[in-house]
Formats: sequence, C-alpha cells, structure tokens
Amino acid sequence: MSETILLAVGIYCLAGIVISLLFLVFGIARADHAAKGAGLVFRLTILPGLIFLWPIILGRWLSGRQINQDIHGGDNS
Amino acid sequence: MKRKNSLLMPRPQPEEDFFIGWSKVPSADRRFLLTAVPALAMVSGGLGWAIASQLDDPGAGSWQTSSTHTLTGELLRDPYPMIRSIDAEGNVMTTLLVAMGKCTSSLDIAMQAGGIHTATGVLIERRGRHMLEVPFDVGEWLSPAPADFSVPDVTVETVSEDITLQGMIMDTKCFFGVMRPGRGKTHKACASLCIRGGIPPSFWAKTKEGREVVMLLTDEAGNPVSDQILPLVAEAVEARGKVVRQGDWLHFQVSPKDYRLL
Amino acid sequence: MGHQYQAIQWNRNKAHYDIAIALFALLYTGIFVVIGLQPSETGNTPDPVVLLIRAFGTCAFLLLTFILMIGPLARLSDRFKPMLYNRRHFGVFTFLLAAVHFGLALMWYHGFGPLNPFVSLFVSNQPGGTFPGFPFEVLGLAAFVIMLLMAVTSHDFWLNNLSAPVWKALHMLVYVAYGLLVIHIAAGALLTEKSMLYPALVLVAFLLVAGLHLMTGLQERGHDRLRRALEDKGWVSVSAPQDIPDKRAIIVPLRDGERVAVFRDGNKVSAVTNVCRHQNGPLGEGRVVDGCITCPWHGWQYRMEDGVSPPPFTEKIATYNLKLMNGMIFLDPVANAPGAKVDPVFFDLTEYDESGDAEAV
Repeated sequence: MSETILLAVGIYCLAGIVISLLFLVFGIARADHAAKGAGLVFRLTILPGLIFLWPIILGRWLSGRQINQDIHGGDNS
Repeated sequence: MKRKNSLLMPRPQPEEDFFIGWSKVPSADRRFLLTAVPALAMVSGGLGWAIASQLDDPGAGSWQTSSTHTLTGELLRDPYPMIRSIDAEGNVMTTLLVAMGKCTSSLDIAMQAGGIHTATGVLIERRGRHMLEVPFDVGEWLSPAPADFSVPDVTVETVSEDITLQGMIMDTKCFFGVMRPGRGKTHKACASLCIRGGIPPSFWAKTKEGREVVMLLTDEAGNPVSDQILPLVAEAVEARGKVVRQGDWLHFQVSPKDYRLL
Repeated sequence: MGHQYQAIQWNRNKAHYDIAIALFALLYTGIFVVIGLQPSETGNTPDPVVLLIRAFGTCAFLLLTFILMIGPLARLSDRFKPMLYNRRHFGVFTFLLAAVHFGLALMWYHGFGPLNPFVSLFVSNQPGGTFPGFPFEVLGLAAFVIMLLMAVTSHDFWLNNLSAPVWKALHMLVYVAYGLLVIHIAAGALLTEKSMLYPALVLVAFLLVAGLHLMTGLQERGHDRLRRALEDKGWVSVSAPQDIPDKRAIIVPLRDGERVAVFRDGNKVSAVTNVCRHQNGPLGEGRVVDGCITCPWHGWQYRMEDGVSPPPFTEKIATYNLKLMNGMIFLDPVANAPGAKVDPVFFDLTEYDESGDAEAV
C-alpha cells in the first residue's frame, strides 16, 4: 500500500517536471504579463512550485484565461 | 518612488521614524536594531550552548570505521551469524556478524557455517561486546584459516529456567556504537528497521543492583526473532522467558507472546 | 503588473537582514555542534550525524518560533517593522534548515535498510499502543510538506497567479505546521531526553507565539469597537478632519468586514482600501510620503487621489468617496473601481490652532 502511494507521488512529480518545463518555455509569458522576458533564474525560482502545483497552472494555461487578476476584481493592465 | 535592486538609498522621508524597506533606515529603527541584533546573536549562541549541553549521555559504544579488524574462529549461523574466536587472554570470544547498512538477512554464510575461517571487517564494540561489520559479498571478507586452528566447543548452560525481566529490546548494531545515542523514542524507528532487516535484537535490562545486562534475544526455541517483535522495539517492556549462557554470551529466549508493554 | 518579475529582489536592507539571520543560524548550529561533540562525564561522544540532525532541527524550530512572533510584535511596536519587511527570505531560509534536518534524518534513520526510506518513515515507528507511542516522524513530515509548499510559493508570481486569498490561505497553514512541530517534538525528543530544559523551552516558545497573537488580536478588536459608526443615508462617519493625524490615516472597519484607510495630507483627505495590492499589508498603518500613501510592510506606494501607483508602476487600489458635513468626514462604504479618481475633501486648516480646537469664530 505504501509502495502504491509512493509510486503515485512519483508519477505526480514526474508529470510536474514535464509540464513545468513546457510551461516555462512556452506558456508563461502569455499567462502573466510580468513574466514576459523574465530571466532564467526567475524561471528556476518558480520551477519547484510549478512541479508541486502543476494542476492549477495547467488548468489556467489550457483555459487561456489571463491569470494575475487584481484581488478586488479589476485587471492589471 | 520604489527602487529595484538598488544599493543607492534616497534621503530619509519627512517622517523620521517610518521605516520604508527600500529606503535608508530611520534613526529610531537604526538605534533599536543596533541593540536588538547583537542581543539576538547572543541569544542564538546561548541557546545553542544550553540545548547542546543538556543532551543525555549518548551511551557507550564505538564504530571504528577508520581501520579493519581481523578475527579467526568458528563461523556459526544460528541463531544469528557470529564467529567464535580466542581473545588475547585465551578465552573464547563471540563476535556477532552484520552486513553494512541495516540489512543482515542477506549475509549468506550457509556454506561456510561450522568451519574455521578468518573474517575481516569494521569493529563495533560496546563494553566488551563485539560485532564485526562486513560487506555483503562473502568473498570480500572471509578467507581460509590456518588448518591447525581450533576453538573449544561452545558450552551451553541454563542460567534461569523461568524469569521475568523489565527492560528494552534494542537492535545490536546501533546500540553497540553505530548510533550514539542508539536508544529511546527518537531511535525507535531505526531500531525497528534494523531488526526487520535481520540485525540481531538484544534485550537490555538493569539488575536490582543497577548493573547493566545485555542479552541476545531469540524466541522460546532459541530461533531468531524479527518481525514478530517490531512494535515492541525501544519500548519499556516486561518479558518472561529462559536465560541460557552460550559461551561468553547470555541468550534470553522469550516467546513473542510473553512480552508486556509497561 | 507594473514591473517584471525577478528571481530574488535584494537591496541593502534585505542584504543586511539575510546576513543577520545567517549569522544567528551559524552561531547557533556552530556552538551546538562544538558543545555537543564534547565527551560526556563517562567519556562517551555522540555520533556526528545525530548531532547535526538535532542541531538543524532545533535551529529551524527556534527560527520559526521567532518568525511567528514578528507579525504580532510589529503590530505592537513600529520598531519591529524592519523585521517584518524581509520575512519572506527568513521563511525560505528556515525551510532550508528544516530540509537539512529532514534529509539527514531520513537518510540516517530510514536509509540503507530493507525498506524504501519513505515507506520506513511511515511503518517503522509502530505504536506500542499508548499515546506516547505516537509516530512522531509522520507529524514532522506533514509539517515539512506544508513548509515546502510555502517555500516554493514564496514569490510574487505565486501571490498573483494563485490569487491573493488562495496564497494567503496556503501561507496561513504555517500555524498548522507549527502545531504539528510542537507535537513532533513532544512525542519524539521530549520523550527521549531527560533534561527539563527541553519541555520548558517548547512551552515558552508556544506561549510566546500564542500569547502575542492573542494580545494583538484583542488590541485590534478594541480598536474596531471604538469606531461608533453614525450613519447618514448609508454613509459612515469617520472623524473630524483635523483629528486625523497629518500624513497618517484612520482605519474604518465596514460592516462587511472590509476596512478603509482615510488619509490626511495637510488640508486634503482621501480614502482608499486598507489592503495593499502587494501582500495585503495594512495601508492605514502607513504614512503619506511625497504625496503618496506608503505601505508600512514593503514600501509600495499609491497616489492619494486615485489609488494608482506613481509611474513607472501601475498597480491600482480601490478608492472611496468622502464628504465633509457639519465638520465631520463621512465615508461612502461602496468602493469605487481600482484607480477611480476621486477629488479629495478639502478643509480649512486655518480654522484650527495647533491643538486642533476650533478658534472662536
């Protein structure tokens, strides 16, 4: 049972690595204005978070919605 | 105006005691920090000293990794891999054999058991009890002994037919010196893992006079125990069984049903 | 966003801050190891790995205790605001120390055995049946996972892309992590070591964190209750304009839980949301600097008249309408859109002497 859980966690993280790298190369600039043109070190800084929270980022990337919304409802252009 | 990544600090703003992170530190905050930071540094050092100095005695035992140790004697497999040799005073000395890491069950000496061999490994020693840590591959640590070398037969005598003792189940490897401290709640998981991997368990007890007794632990028939006692490892227990002296070691033969948590 | 993300933002204050906490950690662990390696009275020495596990574990817990004290302390005294400023770096640093403790413990206690170390972490400490036998390692792992999620999201990218409420909820889990750590220590180390110093320290740490939070919670509630809201056609009374300290604000809590900061700059009064766009800092505890409302946490600024950050920054916060009636400022509790321009309320300063009392007219 423990081995199964470990395997699931491993697969989740592996998927996270793949999706994160794709997102960092192709998706991030469109999704968040402030990330456009941001350097490699910045992308590496957010990589661990992307690996663990990839479902959230993937969902927003695929839905094409602009993320980075003002918390009070306005947008940030 | 905010500055990004700039080490140039603007002049202080009209409010002298309003701290703005990207600006020069106001004098009120500077004065406070000049006292607080050294004070915190002293507290850090003081706490490090206090907490470290109050730690329990880590216990006796040594793991002599910087050199190897060689023994010649009779190789035995039951109840646990061991070698019976002659010490400097001419007495028979029993040394437990364990593999590297926490796995001993892979130590395959079935072919060589019963014969006289020379073994080389890393010595683990605690108060006259010895253990030799060897590589997994038998060929790497076992070699033939001189043909005329002999060891007296092991003497077996019953010390007590039925005795109840209070103490703790320890794994011999960590307890004898690889981990210091090698006992208590924080070590319980490791001890349990070692015993699961085949490291011989021992029973540690204190006599009424306060003397420490360490005995090799087996089931009631003298066979090795492992999975049956895992939940009881490193807990205060009461055990009822038979004590037998085999050579220079005491064996405590307890049925896994005859333990009681204290 | 008004500016591009950077990996780590540093300035001189942050550099000093980071050096200071690295120094505290180095002093603690260095002295801990040197003292710990000394032979005991019986001549026994601990094995160095166990000592390092304890050094890093205790250091991380003590630093986390201090981190949790900074928030309330900064509310009780402005002198602690500088410590609040770079708390993010402090948190990530503490997580790294915890990671060393976790990695060493996992390897040393659970590695090289017949089981996968992560499996061993869950199954090796089988409870003996009584409460003290609780598997404390698992609690430590749970706390570590929380701290890991917090550390990897410690960047404005995540604050913006998770949305501030979600990010905030995630980071409030630090309190859950702290509680788990107290039990992790209580069910492990405190049941192993005999000295009374350890339970005493854990108790003091917990009481400091809990006590300070309680104190500031009561203080905030006291402040809110002082606002007796008189209403005029739905508008909420604030105060006489001259009673608002110059270049500072009065914070007005609204019925729906929102708070509004009403600032005065000389003879002008404007109102904005109390919540900073950056990390939800309390704008009303800030000051007006160069005509801009300045957040006390990280110095983010907004123009009084429209809640927009001065160029080149483009952040916007919600503004509120005010009116001056019978010598009293009234606030319309319905917020305007972020960045909506609102003319400030002007009042005649010369009517009042320095004490704020009206001169006889």
